[in-house]
Amino acid sequence: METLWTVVGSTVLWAALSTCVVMVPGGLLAYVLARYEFTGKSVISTLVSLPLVLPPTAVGYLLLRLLADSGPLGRSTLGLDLDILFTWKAVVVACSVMSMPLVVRTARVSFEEVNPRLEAMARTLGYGPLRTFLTITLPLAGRGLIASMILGFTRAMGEFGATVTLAGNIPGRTQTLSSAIFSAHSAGNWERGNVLLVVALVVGFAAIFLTEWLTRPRAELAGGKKS
Amino acid sequence: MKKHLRLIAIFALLTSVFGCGSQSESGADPATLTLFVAASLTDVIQAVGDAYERDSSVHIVYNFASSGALAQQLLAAPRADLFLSASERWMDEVERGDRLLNGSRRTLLSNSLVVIANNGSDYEMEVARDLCELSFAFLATGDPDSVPAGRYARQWLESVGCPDGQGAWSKVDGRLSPTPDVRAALAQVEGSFDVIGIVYRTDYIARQRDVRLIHEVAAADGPRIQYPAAIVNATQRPTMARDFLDFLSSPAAAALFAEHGFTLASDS
Repeated sequence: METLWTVVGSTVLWAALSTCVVMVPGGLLAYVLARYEFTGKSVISTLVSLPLVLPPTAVGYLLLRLLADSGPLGRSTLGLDLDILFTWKAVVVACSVMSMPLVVRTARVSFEEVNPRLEAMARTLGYGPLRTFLTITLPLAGRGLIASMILGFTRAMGEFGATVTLAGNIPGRTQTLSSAIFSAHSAGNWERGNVLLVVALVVGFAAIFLTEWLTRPRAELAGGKKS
Repeated sequence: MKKHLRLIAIFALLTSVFGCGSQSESGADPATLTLFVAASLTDVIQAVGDAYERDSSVHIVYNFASSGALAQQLLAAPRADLFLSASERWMDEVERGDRLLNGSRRTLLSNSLVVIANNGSDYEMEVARDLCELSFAFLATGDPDSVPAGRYARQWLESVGCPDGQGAWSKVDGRLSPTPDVRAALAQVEGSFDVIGIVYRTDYIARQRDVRLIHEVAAADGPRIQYPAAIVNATQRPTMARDFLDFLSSPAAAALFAEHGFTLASDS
């Protein structure tokens, strides 16, 4: 059953990669949305949330048109081939876009929960903006940020519609646990479908349990609640 | 910050454990054929492909999705050598988009409808119009408005005349259980004594221990359910693709298709 482990390994890896890809821009965007007022803010905030509203296959279709050979980011437009479609990169792109709204919304709330006066106090004590962000804001928002990370990761693990449209369902190349389950069911192969389902449940449980355990509240932070 | 470092370390570890070695890059290998295949053919096409690979040096790569998704992919970026669709409609769409090699399109397989019932039920049918008298609670099939199997089922039922002069479709009125796909219809039949279902013969063959066949719709009486195949014109290996397409219509392949309930379409 080495193919099974390839599928599980790839799915976890791609979900982890897409979480990494989303966390930095998603976290920064969430911080900007939480702290600053500017024109077009609600437009940006709405745009980022759109993947939650649309059916995943529609998101996949939009991305496919975007990266199509003659699309805005296609090889005949850019003059070079990004080689994203039907590769593992397409899986990461699809999962990133689909998990972006969850990451940004959760991270935004956790930044909003941080009292701005604490940041202001740090500034009066001579901390620069970057140092304030890294030593005051980030640790105080930490648990919420990790929650957003878990949400993004789990969304990416289970993503199907956008992935199968953009990356295909190519065994050994772009097949994920979700698309392997879809294949097995489509072919009426319920034995394999059930095995994969159990594996998906176990992996999903293990991944969430591990992150929950790693991020359990600890004394140092329990006392660090804002006033 | 320690916590963040820990998480970063975990992700780094995962990355190194699963490595990038497992995903080999695009099929630059000259002896690789890429097949875009309707998901319902997942198992049978791999069996046929394995048989072909044994007797040649060709390596076959598959992409399984719904025919609609595959058609959209071919229109956006044709990275395939062959397309096997579960519906003429999506093949038409790809043909209109000028993605097919001229003259390569052929009807490869055909499928038919069957009426199934729960293993513990006692529904029996001798001829199609016996369905008019059956006292089932629900008839499960794909949603006729969106699922091809359901559309075919409605087409067939409309053509079956009941003794009172109405079509069998009118007897189903209020008793239809439309499902998002054929497998869900099969699952409903499996789970309930008084539900009968109309599914593809191939779906029944795959699950024949779990449900009971009560009627087979003869090819002549039912709608034409066909699986077209064609070579994609972006292929770098037209000769190899044609050879594989021919193999799909060979007796060796036919035997494998038949095992899964498909019939090789005779006209091509």
